[in-house]
Amino acid sequence: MNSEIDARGLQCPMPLIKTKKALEAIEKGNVTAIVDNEVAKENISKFAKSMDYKVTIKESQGDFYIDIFKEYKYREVKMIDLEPDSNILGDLVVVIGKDYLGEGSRELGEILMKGYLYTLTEVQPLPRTVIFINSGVRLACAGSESLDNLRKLEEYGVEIMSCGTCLDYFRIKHDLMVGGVSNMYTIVEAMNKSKNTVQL
Amino acid sequence: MKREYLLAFHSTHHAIAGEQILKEKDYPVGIIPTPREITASCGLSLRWDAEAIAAGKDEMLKLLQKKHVEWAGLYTRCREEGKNSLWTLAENAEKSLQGDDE
Repeated sequence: MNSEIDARGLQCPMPLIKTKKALEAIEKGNVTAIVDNEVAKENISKFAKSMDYKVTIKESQGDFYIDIFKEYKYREVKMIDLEPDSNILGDLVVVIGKDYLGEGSRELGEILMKGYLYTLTEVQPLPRTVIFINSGVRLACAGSESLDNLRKLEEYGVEIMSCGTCLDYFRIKHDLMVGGVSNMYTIVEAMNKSKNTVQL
Repeated sequence: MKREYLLAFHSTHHAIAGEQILKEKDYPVGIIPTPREITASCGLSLRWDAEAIAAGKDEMLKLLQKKHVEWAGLYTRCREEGKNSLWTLAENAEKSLQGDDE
C-alpha cells in the first residue's frame, strides 16, 4: 500500500499529524509526505525514525519528499526456528484413499481432511511421499481447497503422487494441479520400500 | 515478514457456519485444526493471511456477528523464511507489537 500526503502550505503540526494518520491506517507500506519547510521535515523524519520506519528524504525545488516505509514490528515476539528442509522428511508414506477423513459425517470428514493436509505442513517430520488413490485424487485437482497446502509440502521436498487410473476413472486427468501422475507399480514400490505407511 | 490471523471458535458448528458465510462473500479464509498453543477452542479455527484481507478484517468480523456466529478469540502470528512465532491473542499481540507508540 502506497500513499502520498501533500502537506505543503500546512501549518505545524498538521504535516506531522496527517503523516501519522496515514501511517496508522496501514499495516505496512509506503507513505510519502511532501512538505515545504525544514521544521516539518525534521518533525516527520524524527517521528518516523523513532518508530523504526525506514526513511529516505529527497529534495526537489525547495520541497522535501519524505519516503517512509512501515513494516510490521514484532518487538517482543519470539520467533521459533524450523529445522532445515533436508532433515525433516521422515521415512513415511501417507496413502490417502478418499477425499474425506474418517467415517460418520461426510461434511465433517471433508473438513477434517482439509485440516489434516494443513497440519501436515506444520508438523515435523514430514512424510517422504503422499499418495492419492480413488476419490483422494480430487484433493490434488482443480477446485480442491487443499492445493496451497499440497504445494507447500512439495516445496518442502515431499513427493506428491496421484493414481493415474483414478484420475482417468473420474475423468479429471487434466485437472491435476499438484504433484505427479503415477501407476500402481510406483505406488506399491513406494509403500513397500518405506518402513512406515499410514493409510487414511 | 508475513502475518497471519486465526479465529478460534467454541463450537464446531459455528466454525463451519462461519467458513460458509465468509466463503460466500469470497473472503480467502480456510478452516484448520486449532493449533496446540491455543486451548480456548472446539478444535476448529479459521485462518487467513493478514495482507489478503487487511482492511476488510473488522467488516468480516462484524458480518459474523450479524449472522450470530460466535467466536472464542482472534489470534495472530508472524512468519518469515524458516521461522514463525507462536499464536498470540491479537489484542495482546497488537499491544506488544505497537509497544510505546503513543
